[in-house]
Amino acid sequence: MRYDRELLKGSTDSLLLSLINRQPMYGYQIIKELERRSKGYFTFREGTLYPALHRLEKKGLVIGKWERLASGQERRYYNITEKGKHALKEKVTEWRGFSKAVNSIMLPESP
Amino acid sequence: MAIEPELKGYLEGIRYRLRLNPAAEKEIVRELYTHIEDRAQELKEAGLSQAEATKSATERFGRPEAIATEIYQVHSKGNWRAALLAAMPHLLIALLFALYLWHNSSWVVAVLISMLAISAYGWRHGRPSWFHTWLGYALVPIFIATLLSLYALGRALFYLLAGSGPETNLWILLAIFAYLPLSLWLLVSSITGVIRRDWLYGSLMALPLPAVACWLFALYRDGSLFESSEQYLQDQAPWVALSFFALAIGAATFIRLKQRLFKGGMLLTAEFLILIIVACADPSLLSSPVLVVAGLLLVTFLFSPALLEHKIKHGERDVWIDAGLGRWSEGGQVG
Repeated sequence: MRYDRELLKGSTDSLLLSLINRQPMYGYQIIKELERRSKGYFTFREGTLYPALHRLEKKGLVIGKWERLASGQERRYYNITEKGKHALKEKVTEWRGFSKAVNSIMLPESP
Repeated sequence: MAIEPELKGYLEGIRYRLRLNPAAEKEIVRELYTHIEDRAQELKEAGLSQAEATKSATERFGRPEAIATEIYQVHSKGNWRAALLAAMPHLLIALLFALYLWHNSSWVVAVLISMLAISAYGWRHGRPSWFHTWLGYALVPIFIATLLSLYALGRALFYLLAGSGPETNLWILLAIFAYLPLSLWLLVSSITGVIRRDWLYGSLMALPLPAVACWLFALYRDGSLFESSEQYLQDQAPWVALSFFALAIGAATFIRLKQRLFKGGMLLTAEFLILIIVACADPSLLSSPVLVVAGLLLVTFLFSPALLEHKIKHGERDVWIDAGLGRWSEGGQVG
């Protein structure tokens, strides 16, 4: 199904924070997890993930750290910070109110 | 495992446009490389050849220009502390004139030493964006001393060839011979080091030079470069202070902006403000043809580091990749 990319752009930070809040992840893992959880609905242009992650890191919402995998390779894992958890909480509340209001107008018959 | 030339070229295309400090660039490119490596591995397991997998992985990743620009914009905007630090050397010079302290050698020496010390500190601590304005001022006395040394050397050589003229002190000549290579090395390595990272920082660093040139020109036009310059500067001190204050605002705004186009525009605006301030200080000084020529010279001077950057960066690619990517592909750490 197609969707307006601007819609996703506005929600990128919330989606990334939600995933990283569950467990620390590295970039490729985040892409795979987004695809899996959205059942292939969200397909990022992969390179655009990193400016978004670095923006979150610059705001102090996540922190990146190199860690060694069992294979010996290293990956940069992103961990959520306390500030990030607080921001996520606010974003979830904001999203609940926003989606409820949009649904009440666009899908008035939905329960 | 060796990295394919196409992937090297792709990553270098990103690195070239990041224009961050070398350590940050390595860190970022290394992270992007691990992503492409993972995707290519998955595609290989799905049956693609190494070359096909890498090609497909980089295509999915996106255009290097777009990715580098987006990452640059995240990192290029400095915080208010960095903006204030970048404005500080211009403010110090502005204060020297505003408070009429410029002819007090103790104050001038103190400001000069602080500029040298802070530049050295910044150079050793990752060359943050704000340090370039300090470096610009720190290089000015070295540059002037180099010019004077060359002048003295030329004069001594002329007298020697002519077989007449005052006798040259051998010790002074020896001091010049010791100083010149050192100062030239310092100037060239500092300037190329800055421009190699980002020509815009070269322009930021050189921002006070046109202001200094404008005021020297004003003194020269007055016919009093060495005779009554003190009185002239005393009269014009508020205007001189205002011109350096304009540079301070320009430098701080430059640090706070994200986009390169606006950063360049800010530098240009600051320089034109200087021209206007000098013209206001002494309206007879800048007749309109002079103003046009000065404006053109300013634009050329301000954007000349862009040409140098291209020349300096050309041919560095293989050295950089061998030093960085080669080690990562073997699972090694980058220091």
